[in-house]
Amino acid sequence: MNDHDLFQLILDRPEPDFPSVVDAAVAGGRRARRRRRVATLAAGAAVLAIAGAGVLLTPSASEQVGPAAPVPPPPAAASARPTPESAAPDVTATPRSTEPPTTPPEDGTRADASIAPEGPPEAVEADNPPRLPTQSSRTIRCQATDEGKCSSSARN
Amino acid sequence: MREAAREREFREYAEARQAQLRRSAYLLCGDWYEAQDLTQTTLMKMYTAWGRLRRDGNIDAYARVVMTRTYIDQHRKGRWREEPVDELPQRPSDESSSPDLRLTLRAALLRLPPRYRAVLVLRFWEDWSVEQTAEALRISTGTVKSQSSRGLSRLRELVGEHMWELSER
Repeated sequence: MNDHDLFQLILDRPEPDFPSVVDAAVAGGRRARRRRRVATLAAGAAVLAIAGAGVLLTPSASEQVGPAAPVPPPPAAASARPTPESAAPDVTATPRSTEPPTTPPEDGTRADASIAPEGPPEAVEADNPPRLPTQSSRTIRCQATDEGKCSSSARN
Repeated sequence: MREAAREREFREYAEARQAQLRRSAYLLCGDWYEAQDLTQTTLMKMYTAWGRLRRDGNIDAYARVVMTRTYIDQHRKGRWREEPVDELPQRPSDESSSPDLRLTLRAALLRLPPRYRAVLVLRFWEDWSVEQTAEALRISTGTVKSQSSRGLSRLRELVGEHMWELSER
């Protein structure tokens, strides 16, 4: 008895009845092939995207990057110079007696309540809520005009 | 159209060879149901590579290689483990000429390590050469020789008292 017969002896028995595995194998093989295709496409798309991003983000050769040129510092008073609007007298201001005393700015410019503080308008409105004009302020405004007579809309 | 012809060809091959593949798988894993699963996995892997297999030829050898590697990989990953069942899936048969000897041989084969078993099955059941077996299992020819020699001697040792019965055949 040779070794092949030894294995034949192990198999010397009718095997159980099994259904065909061909359909299941074909279905599984199709799934595996589809997964492999999707993985290949996804990997290719990822490589292309990375390569495209690299090309776009790489600085071109014409652009020469060097040290920044020295910029002269701006004059200190330039930023604090009042604009004509801010220098105009505010006729809508409420009497000074009700407001806390304000300290004059150090650069000698006129401290006026109408100078708009720096910052967004929302912040300004939050700090100084809009005030309705009083009767006395309307009268002052009418007298400041050349006509000397207020219109009906100004009186109201 | 080409895909349909390809699938028809594969189906013809698989229908013709699945019983033979299942017997080889049974020698590897020692259980008919595991052998059925191993056959299905082997055929599934063959389906994915069927186009290349048709061009290269030697489909049967490729099937044995895939089956043996799949079996060793699955054992290495520990995927195949015993699961308790309420009923025995295999009914004992009474038509075997020498059930004791067959069971002893099967038990002895199953006590061998999976790689030894794979070497013995490929070398002595499939009648492959040492070089073919070495290539299929990705090991050297010297390893194939030593493992087949040790495996056979261990198999004979495990069979033990039934050796005289084997020698009479």
